[in-house]
This record gives sequence, C-alpha cells and structure tokens, in this order.
Amino acid sequence: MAVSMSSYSRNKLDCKDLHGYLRTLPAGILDKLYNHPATCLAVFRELPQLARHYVMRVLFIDQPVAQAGVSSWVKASHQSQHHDAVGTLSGLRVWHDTPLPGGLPGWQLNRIFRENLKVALIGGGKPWSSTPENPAEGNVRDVAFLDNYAKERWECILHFLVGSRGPEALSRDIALVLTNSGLMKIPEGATLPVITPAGFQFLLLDTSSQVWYFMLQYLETSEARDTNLVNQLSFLFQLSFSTLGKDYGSEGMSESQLQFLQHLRELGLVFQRKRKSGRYFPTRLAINLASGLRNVNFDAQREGFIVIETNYRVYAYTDSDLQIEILGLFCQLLYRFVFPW
Amino acid sequence: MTTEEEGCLLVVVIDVNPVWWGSSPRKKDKASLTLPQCVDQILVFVNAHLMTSPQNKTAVIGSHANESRFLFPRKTTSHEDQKDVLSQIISLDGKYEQFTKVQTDVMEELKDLISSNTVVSHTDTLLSGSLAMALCYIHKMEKETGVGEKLRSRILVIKAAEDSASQYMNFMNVTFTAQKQNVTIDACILSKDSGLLQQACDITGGIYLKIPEIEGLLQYLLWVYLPPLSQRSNLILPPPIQVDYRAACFCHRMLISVGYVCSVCLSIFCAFSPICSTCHTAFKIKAAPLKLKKKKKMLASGV
Repeated sequence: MAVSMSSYSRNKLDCKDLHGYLRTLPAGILDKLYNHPATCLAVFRELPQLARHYVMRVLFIDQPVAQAGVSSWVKASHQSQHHDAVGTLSGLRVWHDTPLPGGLPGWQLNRIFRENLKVALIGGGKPWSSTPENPAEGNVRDVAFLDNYAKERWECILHFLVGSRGPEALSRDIALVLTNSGLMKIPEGATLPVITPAGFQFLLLDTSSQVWYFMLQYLETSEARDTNLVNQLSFLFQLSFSTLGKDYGSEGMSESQLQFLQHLRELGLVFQRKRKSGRYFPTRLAINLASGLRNVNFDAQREGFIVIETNYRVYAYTDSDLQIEILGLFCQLLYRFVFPW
Repeated sequence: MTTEEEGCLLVVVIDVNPVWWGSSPRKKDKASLTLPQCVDQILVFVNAHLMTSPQNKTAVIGSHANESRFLFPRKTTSHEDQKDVLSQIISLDGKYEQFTKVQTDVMEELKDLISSNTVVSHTDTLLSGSLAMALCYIHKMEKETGVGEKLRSRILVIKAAEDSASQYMNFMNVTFTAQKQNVTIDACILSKDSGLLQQACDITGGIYLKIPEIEGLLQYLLWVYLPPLSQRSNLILPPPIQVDYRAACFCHRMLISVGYVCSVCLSIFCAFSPICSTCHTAFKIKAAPLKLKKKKKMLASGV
C-alpha cells in the first residue's frame, strides 16, 4: 500500500452539489436554464427549506412583496436562516430587488422561473418530450433489466478508470472527460492514462455521487467544446424527473442533443435498443440525478467483506471483478480462490 | 448537499359530503367555491408538497357520507400489469408526470365515489372512519420504509360539513391513537368551527385554522400547512385558538360541560340514570337525589 493517506485529505475531491454548481454559472445562462420546467423543479428542490417556503408563498402573487413583510414571516430568533434564504434566492436569480409603488424595497420573483415552475406544478405549456408513436410494442424493458444495464455500463467506466480494460472499452469522448477532469492522467512517455489520487477519491464515492460528479465534469468539458450547455443541462434535469421503466421518444431532438443522448447511453444513464430506435428508457442512474446525491441506494445489494491484518495482509471476499481490480491497484495479488459454493 | 432531510407522508382527508357541498344557501353565495374548484386547489397543494422534496409522499382520502375511500393512491388490482400502470402516465403538457398522475387519479376516483353514492342515508361525514384509514395507511407506510430512512407523517383534514356528535367516541379514539403514533393532525375548516377537530389538533400538536375567506384556500394551504413540521417553530403562523373541550354525552350525543360520569367505565351522561348503559353497573344510591348533586363532576379537564 504505497499511497499515503495524507495526500488524500489535503486535496479533497470537490464534489459540488447542484446549488454550488449553479452559482458558478453566469447570469445569462441561469436565465436561459429557467426556460425549462424541469430545471425550475430541480432548482426549487435544492433551495434551503425556508427559501422553498418563500417561493411557494409568492408563487401565485404577481406583484412584488415588501422585503420587510417577507422578513416578518419568520420569528425574530431565526433571522439568520432568513438571511441565508434571501441570499440564496437572490444568488440564483430566483427573485430580485424591485421597489414597491410606494418606494419601499420589495422582492419580485423571476418571471421566467415563476412561469415554468407554475407549468411544472399545475400544467400548461409544451410536453417535455414526444411520446413514442407506437408505445410499448413488445420490447418493453423491465426495471430489473434497466438496473442491470445501468450497473454494467457504469462499471465499464470504473474498470477503465482502474486500468483493467484497454483503451477501446470507452469512446474517445468519455475517455477525454476522465483525463480532462483530472481523474486520470497520461504519464510522460506513456500512451495509456492512469488513475490519479483524485480518481481514487472518485472511486470511493457512492454511485449516485459518482454519476453527478462525472456529469459535471462532462458538462465542463463540453463547455470547452462549445456545445449547448443549456440544452444538455435541461435534458439532464428532464431525465432526472422521468419515470423508471417508461420509454420516451427522441423525436424533435437536435443533432447535438442526439449526440448527448448517445453519450448518456454509453454511460448507462439511458437505455436504447438501437441507436436509431427513436426512443429511450432512462435508468435509475439518471432518475433523481439532480436531487439524488442522497437517496439512490444503488450499491445497497452489493455485498463484500474485507479484512486487513496488522502485518499488511489483506483478505477480501468479493465476486466483483471491479473490486478486485481496485484492490489490485494498491495491493499485490498473491492468491485468488474460488468460493466453495 | 444540504442537511439531511427526512421525508414526510402527508395524508389529506377531504370532506366531500354531498349534503353540505350541495346545500342551497351555499349555491346562492357567489363567493363560495364549488367542490371541483376546491379539490383543484387542494391538488395544487398536494403536488406542491410532493414538489418540495423527492422523499415526500402523499395519500388523499375522500370522506363521503356513505363511505371513505382512497382517492390516491388508487386501488390497483394485483393482476394489473405494470405496463398498464406506466402507460397511464401520459403528459399532455409541461406538467411533471407524477403530478399529472395524482391529478387524474384523484379526479377519476372522486367522480366514481360521488356517482356511485347518489342516495345518502344519513347526512354526517364519516370523518372518524377516514381518519382511521389514514392512520392505518401511515402505519403501513412506516413499516415499509427501509432501514435508515425516516418518515414523519401528518394528516390534514379539510372539513366542510358540521361535526357529528355521534362519532365522538370513535373520533377521540382515533385522536389518541394518532397521538400515540406520533402523527400530527392538522385541520383546515371551511365553514363552521369544529369542536372535535379543535381537540384533535390540540392533542396531537397540529394547527387548527378556520379559513376566513374560502376563495383564498390555496394560499392558506401553502402558507400554513405546506412547511414541514420541523420548520413550523421558526415561522410565524396563526395563533392557536381557544379549544372547546366539551365532551359528548353517551346517551344523547350532546356536547355538555357538566354531566354525570360512571365511576366504573367513565362513560358520560347528561342525565342521571341508576344503571350505566355502557357497562351495566348498577349504582347503589340509597338517599334521595339531594345527595346526587355530589356525583356531579366538572368535566373541564376533558374525558
């Protein structure tokens, strides 16, 4: 075990939550993002509790409300929470300063945000995606199949990360994300990328955090590639609010969106039977992605034991190739036995 | 991520008593809402609850004069294919699919409930029955939550028709069960104050509010009843009301503040009788009714 633990703690992997990520976006992009109901829904769920309460209270009020009025909704002893909530709401441009007719300072909900949150809540507007014309003709995939598929695809990425599969295991775009994000690097004189300390920390995250982190890195890379960030992010949120086991049509999607869909397919976030099949099934990895850092227990059923002796011998009981590979990164594999049953 | 949040199961009991909703003085009053309008507003509130957090869950129960029924989630026959359930989720507009499902399910079930109960045998809403159903559902859901997950539950009663004193016993039993199960009962009153619900809310620590203007129902719901229980202590909410703690007598189901109590089973009577009708205890009273006055007890502290 050559890698010292201290190097981990010094540069901790910065896994931002949605809120933290949105704060890094320029105002113009935020405004554009609010054009889709799914984004508004995701942003709303990420707000602090008190802020959500404020939004709901003013959602159906068209005029600006007095700032003094808003602060009187909360008991005096909890004003610090109030300031947090107000700060978050202004920071995310959910509402902004507007003077009332009398000249008093007031808050006014962002018009686009209000409209789209209303659409998500009570309806109206356009459907999020086209419904496939001949729904469910024979090749419906059940939830177990989708789970399995998603797991397989995602483990492929992790295998690539620990170097147990060759460079042909992943497409060039995805491999590029891994190197650009610093999870892997290409050592001088070598051709194949190897895992970095950041990559190790990535492996230790639970699956849903991994997916979220990876998608953020993907978006940052694609930003550099100058494709449409707003479109991709909206689509991601839309997936996050879809129903497991249901299929959605990909008609009417632009070329860059279709490209994005293919990447998601490779990552296991959506399942598509064929590239041109015109419909896709979101998997558990994609659903609740935006809010899912805390509630997808994808790894719950994965069992394994590990024993470490004070003489630095490690015994691991597992049937996962991936876990063996990860151990192999910092242990020397001496024996491998088949379990008697 | 933000702090760990626990999910909240909200069971909404809607009073759909046709006698009250269809009563003639209400129809003349233009400011009042019709039942569909009212249900629409409640559904927006229910969806707002679901919108607040992905862990939040909900159930809606319709409380009719003839029966209580789950409007959401709908009863599914066990053989029903999963495919059918999924194909029911169709989004025609920009609304979140799950919200559409809640809306259509509740509306269809409500239509069925009302159209299948055209004849009403008695005029009281079966509120205590609905509350008992809600408690059973909550119990089931709490058992089904996984290890490490927590579910706080509460019940919101949206009450239109008047109290029925005949349900006093059942109602109080339900209330104490809720208290024991740590379920909060909130009440939102559309017309006349309800003594029973005042007690229920007070006992379980819920909010009782009689809505001054029924057109503003949604805004009241979003203001008072949407914030989770943990948030309530931080917000400025309507002040608690004076609770009417009168009990109903067992003989005539009348609300009384002074009455007779059986010393064996604690049944309450408005008039003296030598044999308790509940437990059949015969009271040994030798003297004339003059001594009886001593038996009289103040019931100010409740049951």
